[in-house]
Amino acid sequence: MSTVATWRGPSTTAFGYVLFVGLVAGGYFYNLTFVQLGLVDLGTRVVGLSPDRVAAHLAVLAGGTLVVALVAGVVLHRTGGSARFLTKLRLLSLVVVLQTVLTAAAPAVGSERAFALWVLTASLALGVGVPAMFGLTCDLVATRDRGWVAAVITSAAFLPAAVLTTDWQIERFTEQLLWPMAAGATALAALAFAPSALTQALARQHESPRFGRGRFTVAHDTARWPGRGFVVALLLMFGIYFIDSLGFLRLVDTPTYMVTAWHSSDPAPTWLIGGAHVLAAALAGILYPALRQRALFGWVFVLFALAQLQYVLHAMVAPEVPASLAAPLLYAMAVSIYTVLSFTLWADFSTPRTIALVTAVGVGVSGWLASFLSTSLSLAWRSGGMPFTDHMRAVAAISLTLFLVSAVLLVASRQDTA
Amino acid sequence: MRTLRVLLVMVLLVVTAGCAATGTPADTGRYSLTLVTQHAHVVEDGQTTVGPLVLAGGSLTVSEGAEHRGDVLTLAGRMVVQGQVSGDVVALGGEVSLAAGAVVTGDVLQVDGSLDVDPLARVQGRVVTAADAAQVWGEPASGPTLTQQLVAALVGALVAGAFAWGLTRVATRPVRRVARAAEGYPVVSGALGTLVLLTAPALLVSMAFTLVLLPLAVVLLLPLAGLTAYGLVCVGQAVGQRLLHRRAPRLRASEQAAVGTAGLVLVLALLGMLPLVGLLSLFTAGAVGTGAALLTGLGTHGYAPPAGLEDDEVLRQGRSG
Repeated sequence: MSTVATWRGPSTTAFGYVLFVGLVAGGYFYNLTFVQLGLVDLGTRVVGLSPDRVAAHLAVLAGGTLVVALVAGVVLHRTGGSARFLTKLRLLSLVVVLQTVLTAAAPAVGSERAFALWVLTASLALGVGVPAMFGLTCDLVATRDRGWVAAVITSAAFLPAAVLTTDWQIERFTEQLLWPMAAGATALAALAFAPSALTQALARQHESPRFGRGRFTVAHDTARWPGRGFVVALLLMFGIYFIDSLGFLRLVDTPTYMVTAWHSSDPAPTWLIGGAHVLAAALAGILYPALRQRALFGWVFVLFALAQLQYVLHAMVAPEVPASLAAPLLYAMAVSIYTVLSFTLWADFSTPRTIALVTAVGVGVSGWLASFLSTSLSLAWRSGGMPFTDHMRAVAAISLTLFLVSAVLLVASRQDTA
Repeated sequence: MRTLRVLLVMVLLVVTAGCAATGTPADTGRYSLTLVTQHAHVVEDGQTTVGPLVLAGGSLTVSEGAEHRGDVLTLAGRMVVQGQVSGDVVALGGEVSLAAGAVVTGDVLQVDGSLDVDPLARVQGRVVTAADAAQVWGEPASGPTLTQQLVAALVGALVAGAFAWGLTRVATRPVRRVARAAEGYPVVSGALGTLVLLTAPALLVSMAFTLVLLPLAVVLLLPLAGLTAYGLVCVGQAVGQRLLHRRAPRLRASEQAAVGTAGLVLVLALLGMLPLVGLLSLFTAGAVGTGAALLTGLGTHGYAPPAGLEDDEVLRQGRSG
């Protein structure tokens, strides 16, 4: 501990925090806007595919990303790259370079074959990026600071996503992202491939228990990974991503609810949604180290269920009256809380040796597998002609069921620190 | 405002159902409430509609020679009267237009939305526009005077102090546990309380929407208010202890709570005279108290953060037990 303190100055640590916030917030903003929203516009409007075909390609993207992430995580784990800061940073810089090229090429995609190729390449970049980016947590962010750092990242990703990107067109996304990404890729490559005292100092931070020992590895024997706590967290987080994606996919297809909220031409609703993201992220950042994680899971499920039920009630009771902002605000709060969890949870189940594998499994299974399955299920429901109210009611039922599960788990494991 | 309007519709529905259940006779012996939410509807010459009418969207025209027997409430949409309305017309939103030759046998009251009364329309009751609606509802034109506000604040502080004294006498240890959590972990308590106070009203309104769960929503409102009041008393106890334990060490916990809560309520009431600052102060105190009460299971146990962050200075200081 004392030897670590001799070479680790506050400015180095602060730089690490800024670097991590920039990388993850930028990556998440890119994923939220360009990949999830821009891709739908690219497929439907530019290439001319049907919404179902685009959804099928999105399912391929999710499935492909899952497979690549798991493979990359296993490879990094087996080769020892998981614990090597520079290996992860270099991989990540290559990913950002590839994504910059993909961003520049996206508006030129004109056929379904080119679209499919773009999707596969994007899934390769995203998949490698998962363990490389999340694996840097133990090198750059001290365990006790992960809550508020995740809150800052979530706010930095969602506020501009809500406020700046209301038209959701691929050309607009490219225009917004290309030059910042090019500059970021250049700077990141320089940092990763040019040896410096700074990167050497950052590379050794994980040797300190303050950085390298995850919050939940204290109580759990890391030799028995995956432990019960990890598996439960994985299942609950999978449930969160699943219900979020399943519900939002239908909302996106329902203009009544989009034009009064995320697509509103009036800046007030979009700023309110952005504000709700920031507020909820701050609350989650404070509560993450203070409560058991399952209590926060419970909150997320309740918020999702509330928002989804409000949509159902509006659609059933007064569809003529414009929808209120309560539902999208609750939705935004739920999304921010679980995003903070997703940025902190997997690193806190890890040591530097296991972090690439743990984050690959955690983010891959909970995020991308859930997206793959929810997209597929949404497609099946839509092709079966399921009405909006039935769709949202089913999602709300799943949300409430998962809330009950998390409540029971919370009560049943009061002694369990995880 | 929109939520209020829809809630009003729900209340009207319940009242109507209650009238039907108790057998209150309507003019024609039928029991009905007409709720218009969409499309354009016209009551033609010679036609008569009966019963309370709520316009929540779309449009409704009572043509010349047509009659609506019953009160009309508009929340949204457009209501045009060219014939006769035998009852009151109340505009909470939307557009109301009384054309030349229109007859309204009751009052016409505009709370919100727009109201257009042609000079040749005949209203047998009063016409009250939004500008003077407050006076019709019996509210004074200006707010209470400064002296009245100060007296109200003092009375409120005394009542709160007495309540805190009684509560702390009955449940000394739980109140002190919650007070310690509020004092030791104000940020965590405030964050949890904020989350609760922001989401619980949404939950209750959603339950009220279902009608079936409306009574349950009302029942749940009481514990939420009780929880917040309990939390405020505990914050008051922490304030009282902090202020008095050196100056008056012989005071009991209940007396500290009484003084602290009365002082807290007085300060909040005085801050309440300032726009925004008062509301934020009240919300902050309520959130910290509510969160601390929840963190400690209403004071049944102390609060300590989960294990795994023992080296965290922020979480270590002021740990309550």
